[in-house]
Amino acid sequence: MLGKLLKYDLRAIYKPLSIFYGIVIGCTLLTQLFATINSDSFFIIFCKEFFKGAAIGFSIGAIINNAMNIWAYFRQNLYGDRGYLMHTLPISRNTLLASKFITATITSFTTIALGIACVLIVNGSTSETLTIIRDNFVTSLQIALVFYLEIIFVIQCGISGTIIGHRFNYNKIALSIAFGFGFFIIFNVITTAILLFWGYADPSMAWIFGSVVPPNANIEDAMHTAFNFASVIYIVYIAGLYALNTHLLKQGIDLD
Amino acid sequence: MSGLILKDVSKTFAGKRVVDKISLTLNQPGVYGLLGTNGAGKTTTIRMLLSIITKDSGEITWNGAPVDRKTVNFGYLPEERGVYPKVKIFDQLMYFAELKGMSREAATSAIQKWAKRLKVEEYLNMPAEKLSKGNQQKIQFMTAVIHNPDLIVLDEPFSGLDPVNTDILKNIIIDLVRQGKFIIMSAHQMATIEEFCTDILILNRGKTVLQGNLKDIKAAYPANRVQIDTNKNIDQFLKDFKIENSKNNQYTLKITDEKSAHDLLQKLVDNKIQIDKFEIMKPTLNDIFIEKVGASNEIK
Repeated sequence: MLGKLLKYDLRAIYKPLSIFYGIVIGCTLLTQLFATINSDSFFIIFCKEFFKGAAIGFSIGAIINNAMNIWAYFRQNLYGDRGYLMHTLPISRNTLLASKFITATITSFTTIALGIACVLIVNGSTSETLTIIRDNFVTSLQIALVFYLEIIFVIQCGISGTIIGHRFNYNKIALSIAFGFGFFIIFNVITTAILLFWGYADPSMAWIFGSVVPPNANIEDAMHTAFNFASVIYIVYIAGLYALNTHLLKQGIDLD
Repeated sequence: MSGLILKDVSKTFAGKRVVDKISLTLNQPGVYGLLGTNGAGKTTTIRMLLSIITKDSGEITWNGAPVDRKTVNFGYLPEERGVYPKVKIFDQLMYFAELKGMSREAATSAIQKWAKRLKVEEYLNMPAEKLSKGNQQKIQFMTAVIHNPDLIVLDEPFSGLDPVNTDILKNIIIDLVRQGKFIIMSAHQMATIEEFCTDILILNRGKTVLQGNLKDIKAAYPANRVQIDTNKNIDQFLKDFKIENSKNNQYTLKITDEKSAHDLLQKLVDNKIQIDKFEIMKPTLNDIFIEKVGASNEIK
C-alpha cells in the first residue's frame, strides 16, 4: 500500500514543482544561449543576466515551494477535509507518515540537485564548473549533503509543528507554524551550543565563529569535521522528529 | 461474537461529555439507525467508530476484535467533505479504490458499474465542483461502496437527492443488505429510518434515550391515531376527539386508547355511514422521537 500511496503523493507534489522545474531549465538554457553570443549589445547582456537571475531565483523558489507544498499536502490529507476519507482507508498512520517522508526526501533531492546544477551552469562554463567540483569533490559533496539534510530537517520541523499544533488548537494554523518554527529554533540553538563548546575544546573548530585559530590548525580538516558533524546531527534530529511524529500520530487524530 | 459492537463508548471535548457510555450491537446484516437532535453525538459516535477521532473510554469491536482500519473493510459516506472539488471524478474514485486495495483494472470496472447504476457516467471526466449537490452525493456514495466493504457507514445518504435518485439509492441500500452488508445510517428523515432500519438508537445530549428493535419499540407504544375516509361529513360524531387533520371527508384523529376508536367505528356503522377506510394507527417514529427527546421534530 505504501507504493500506491507514494505514487499519489509524489504526483501531488511534483505537479506544481514541474512548473518550477520547467522555468528553471528554460532559464538556464536561455542563459547559456545568450552566453554563447559574442556581443556587447545591452539587450544581449540584459537577457543573459535576466535569465541567470531568474534561473537562480526559481531554483530557490522551487526549494521553498517543495517544502510548503509538502506541509500543505500533509495538513490537508491528515487534518483537512481530505482527512475524513483518508483516515478510513486501510492504511496505517505509520504508512501515511512514511509516504510523506519518502516523498519529501525524493522531491527535495531532485529539486536541490536541479537547483545546484542550474546555479553552477549559469555561473560559468560547464568545463570550469566541472573542474571546480572535481578539485573540491569531497567538500562539494559535503556541502550539498548538509544543505539537503537541512531542507529535510526543516520539512520535518514543519510536519512536527503541524501535528503538535493540531493537538492543541484543532484546525487553526497559527499554532502549528509557531510549533514548527519553535522546533527549528530550539534544534539550531542546541547545534550552535554544541559547536561553541566544541570550539572551546578544540581551537581548530573556532573558525566557524570567525575566531582566531591556532597557526598550526588544519582548517580544511576542521571544515570536513564540521560538515560531517552537521550531517550526523541533522540525521539525528530528522530521526528524532520522525519518531516523535510516529508516536504522536499513534495516539490518534481528532478531526473537528 | 460477529458483527459490530460498541460498548460504553465515551468522548469528552473541552470538558464537555459529548458521548456518554453509548452501546450498540449490530450482529447481523441490516441497517442500524442513529437518531438525535443537533449535537446529540451521532457524528462523534460515527467518527469514533471509524477512528477519525479517538474515544476516551469503552470498546469498539468488529467480529470480536478491536476495530482497526487495517482489518475492518469500511465504507464511509460523510455528511459533507467527501469529494475533492478540483479533482476529476474518475481520478478521485480511482485514487480511493486503489488505496482501498483494488487493482487498477478492478477499480475501472467497478467505477463503470457503479457510475452506470447511479446514472453518473457522463460526469466521470468532470471535476466534482461542476456537479450538482445530488450528483456529488452519488459520487460520495460510490467512494463508500466501490471496494465492496463489509461495514458501511452512511451519514445522511439522501441529503440533496431528488425523489428519483432517492429511489435509486434506496434500492441499492436494500441490495447491499441482501448481500450481507452491515450498515449504520444517520438520517434526518424519520420516514427513511423507519423504512430501512431494523434497530435504532436515539441519542440526546450524548446519552442514549431509546434503543432497540424498531418493531418492538413501536409495538410497546399504544395506538394514538385513527385515520378515517368516509363519503360524507362526520364532524357530529367527532366532538370528543381532537382532530389533527380534516379534508374532503378524510380525517386524522388523536385517540387516548383503542376502545374509543372501536366505539367510534360502532357509532359510524350504526348510523349507516359508508366507511372507505378506518385505520387505528401506532405512533410514528417521529412521535416516539419527539416524546423521548422532548424537542421539536426538526431533528439533527
